[in-house]
Amino acid sequence: MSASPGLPLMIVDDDDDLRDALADVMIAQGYEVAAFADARVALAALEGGVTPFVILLDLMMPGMSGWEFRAAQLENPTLSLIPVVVVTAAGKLSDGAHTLSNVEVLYKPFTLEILLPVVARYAAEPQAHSGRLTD
Amino acid sequence: MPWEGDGPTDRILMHLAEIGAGRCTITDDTVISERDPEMSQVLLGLLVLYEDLSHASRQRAEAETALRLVAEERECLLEDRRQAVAARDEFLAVAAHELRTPLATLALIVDHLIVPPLHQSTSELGSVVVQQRQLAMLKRQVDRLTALAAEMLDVSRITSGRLQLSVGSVDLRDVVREVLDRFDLEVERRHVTLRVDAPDPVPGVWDAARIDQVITNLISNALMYGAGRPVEVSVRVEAAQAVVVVRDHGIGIPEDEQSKIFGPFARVLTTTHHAGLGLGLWIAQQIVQASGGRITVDSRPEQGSTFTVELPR
Repeated sequence: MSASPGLPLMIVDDDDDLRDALADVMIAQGYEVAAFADARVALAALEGGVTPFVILLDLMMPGMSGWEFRAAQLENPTLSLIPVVVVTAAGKLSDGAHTLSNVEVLYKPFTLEILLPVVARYAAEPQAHSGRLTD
Repeated sequence: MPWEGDGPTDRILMHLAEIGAGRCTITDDTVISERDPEMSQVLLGLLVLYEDLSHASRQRAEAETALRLVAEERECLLEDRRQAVAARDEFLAVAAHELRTPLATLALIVDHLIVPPLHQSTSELGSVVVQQRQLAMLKRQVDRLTALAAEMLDVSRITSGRLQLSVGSVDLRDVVREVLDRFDLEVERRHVTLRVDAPDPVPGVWDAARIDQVITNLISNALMYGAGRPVEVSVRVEAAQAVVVVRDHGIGIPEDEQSKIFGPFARVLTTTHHAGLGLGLWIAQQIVQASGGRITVDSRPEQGSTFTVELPR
């Protein structure tokens, strides 16, 4: 069973191992995965037509940060509809948190028990959450 | 004015008014040359009064200055303390961040290995390969956490003056080669060209493990901040010293930041995150200094950084 026929799950995280681990567990759950170490490349992929049902977004990344990625995503009316779940090791969201209002946050480390239902919820209702994401 | 006349009362009132305004025209000569002995006594009394008042006023000014200095010193100490508390809080935030990331990977992979997934599409052989890769991933997280713990222990050793070197005969060129060998995979992964210039053995008496730690830190930084451009490492004997130079051509360090990089908790927790506790260069400098040497940096933004370690032989 693929919970999201045709739509991949996007992972944006600069930590190679964590990104691979997330990709592994999600692929094992039957999801298609598009994983990116660089937020700029991920954004370009979105602009190029990749349409994930949800984006798991790290915040603190070299180059383009998660906050900058989110701000750029919100500027594009089509891309802004794609739900984002922030996955962060930071204790608080602080700077630029306004672009992350109404965004679900998972604080690292989290268990599969926590992660899977969140992803499954977005997979079951692709873009149903978009209404509360556009401020 | 009422004392503009030249009667004795007018003169006394005039002098009192002057003294009240913080000045005095009575001098010793005025007192001596006064023909009226009573007036001479009064003038002397006024002069003494003026001098006493001036002295008291000077003492008060001095006391006020001293108080102000104490207040300024106190403010400085408070500011130092505020900065120390801020640095500690920031360190704790960075340390927590650095611990959480490998823990997140560990948590996911362990869960994944314990709970069989609903959908396993890979073949048995494929799943063995995946599991091997995931076990290697686990091992790397354990290594990361071990390295973090070692770094924190070093901080505690250094700040309490317990950093001890265990010196022996070492070829610095061998140390550098061993470090570079450990970076093989990372160099390959980052597609970085690493050039090494180490024509001759560089024998000396140092703590090999600690010098290894210093070189490891410099190479790791050069790869992390080197923007994928070539990194050059040289080891040679210059005069009576052993000199290791690690040069990258990456993002560099702004001039006003250069004095801070060897301080503890140097790297600020920013949104553009680079991994690590921000303690590596501070620990490196402590080790090099404890070895009787010095470590310096020459850097320009967007042109790269050159770190030079000089060790006495």
